[in-house]
Amino acid sequence: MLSMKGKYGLKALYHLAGLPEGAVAQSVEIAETHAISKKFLDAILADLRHSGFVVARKGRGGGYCLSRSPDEIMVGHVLRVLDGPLAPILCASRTAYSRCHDCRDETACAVRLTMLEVREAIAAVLDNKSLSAMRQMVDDETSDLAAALASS
Amino acid sequence: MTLHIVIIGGGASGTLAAAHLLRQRETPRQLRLTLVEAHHEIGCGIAYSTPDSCHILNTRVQNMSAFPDEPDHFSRYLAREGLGSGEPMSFVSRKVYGRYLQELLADGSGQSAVPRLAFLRQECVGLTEHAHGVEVKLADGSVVPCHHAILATGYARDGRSQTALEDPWCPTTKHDPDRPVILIGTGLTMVDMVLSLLGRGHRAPIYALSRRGLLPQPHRVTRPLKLSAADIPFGTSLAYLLRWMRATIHDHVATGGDWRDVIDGLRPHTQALWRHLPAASRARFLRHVSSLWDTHRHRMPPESETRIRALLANGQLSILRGAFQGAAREDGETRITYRAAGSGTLETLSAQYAIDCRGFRRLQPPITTPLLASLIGEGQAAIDPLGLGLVFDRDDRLVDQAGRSHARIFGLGPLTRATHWEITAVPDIREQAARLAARLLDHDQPQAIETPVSHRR
Repeated sequence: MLSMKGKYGLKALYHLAGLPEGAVAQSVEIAETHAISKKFLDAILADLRHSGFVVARKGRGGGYCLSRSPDEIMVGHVLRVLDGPLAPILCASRTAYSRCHDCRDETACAVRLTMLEVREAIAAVLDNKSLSAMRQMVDDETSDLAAALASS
Repeated sequence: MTLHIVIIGGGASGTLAAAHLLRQRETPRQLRLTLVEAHHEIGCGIAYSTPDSCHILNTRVQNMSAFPDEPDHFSRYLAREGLGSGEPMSFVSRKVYGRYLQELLADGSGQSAVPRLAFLRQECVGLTEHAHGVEVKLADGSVVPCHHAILATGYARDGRSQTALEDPWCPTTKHDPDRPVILIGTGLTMVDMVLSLLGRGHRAPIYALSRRGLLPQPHRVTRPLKLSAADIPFGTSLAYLLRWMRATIHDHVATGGDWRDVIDGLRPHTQALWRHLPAASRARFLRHVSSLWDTHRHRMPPESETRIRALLANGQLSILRGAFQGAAREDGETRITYRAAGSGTLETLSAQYAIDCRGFRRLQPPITTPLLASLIGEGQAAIDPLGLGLVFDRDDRLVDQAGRSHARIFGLGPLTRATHWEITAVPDIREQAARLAARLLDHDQPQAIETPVSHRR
């Protein structure tokens, strides 16, 4: 389940990925565009900065920008930082592992085995979706909509 | 149609490529292979040419099979040939592994009129790709046409002999057991050289110098942690990744595990980690972390550790910490200068000779190997920004200086380090060889792919 943190983090990166080369955006601008609390957004941007996805420029004309090309930043990679391992259930993660309190035998747990498969599928989608691809999806949708409106 | 593939380089990488292609072909008629190797015996390369049986593999028998899906292939070979126990957890000599690699191709040539597998004892000096194939140019002026070419030239080690340091794999004949020897580097090659010196009855002191004086960690029996890709923070900065790695190791050790379980558990993911590591972090990794990573990732057999520890304890081997500055030969001895760690003062040390055990050096112009020089000179290939090797794309296609992938020229092994980082050991190269063989045998007419030129900020 995508947390609010993950959702807002992706929105902020989506915003930054749309900036022209060399431009920066201030957190207040991102917060207003996407209706996110500025305080929460600042905490999220700090996490993204510590993990090396965005860089902050200080001073006048400062703000945030992506640390590298949006083709190279994958949605799944960002979500691991913001939301932890891509595990739909805690016993399906090795690093954020926690056993269900009512579990008798986890190696034979049908739910866990299914969720392990789900985890691989989630990773396969999110790790192959770059920020550029994310923007492209939005552009495709809006142009489809415009085409549909124009033909009607 | 018979597909003709030329493999340039007959070391471990080239031999594994040939073995996987021969194994994956559907019929003998489907494939013709030519292996071009000028200097070494087929299968040996620089890694397995050593005649010294004290140079043992740094990986257990169970992980050295040429075929990842047949893990007991090598141990069965050992048992069949009566070479040691074939015990999967043991370590055998490198010489034996060289013979195993040769053996892989022994029955590949087949009994047909047209040999399915040919060896050319020649040096390749250039490649020309055209729409339907590749022309492989040889040193004697002849040209071999083929459908695909695979570059498996390893480390491109030329040009070292110009320094005053000895090449570790071409041992000197004039060895005096009563005069000291200096080894530059404290990694696995240093361990090999110390064991060789002892084998030749060396009695005098041995000095080993490196920046940090880190020795390879010893192997222990491990149970690699089953890390899933979903758990690993790909794409983060080096600092973040290292924090995660330390925390994971800490947690694992706290529950009674061994740090090696985590390092070995990361193995299936190291290439993806490298691929997604931001460019600045890659450079930082090479500068600050790679020696620490290498000593933990590329470990020495416990037997070697015991002998090294004993030598350190009795004082015959001493580890010096400092940055190597240079070496000069005079009056039958070699004098090295180094900047001592800590004090920062320039020190000198003399010995009968000094051996370069630093392993892989970065590729820097001018490139002296004719093939690489010609590929780079013609703009067909580019050295990656970190000097690790040539630029290849994710499918191991050679990338030219304009960023376009070649359709018919591929790379394999250490030459592709810039793309994969961990591609120097057989367990990694065999996977790459299996993937490449599948790609070449399935798709006869690969299309040129434009690789996006990324805009760094």
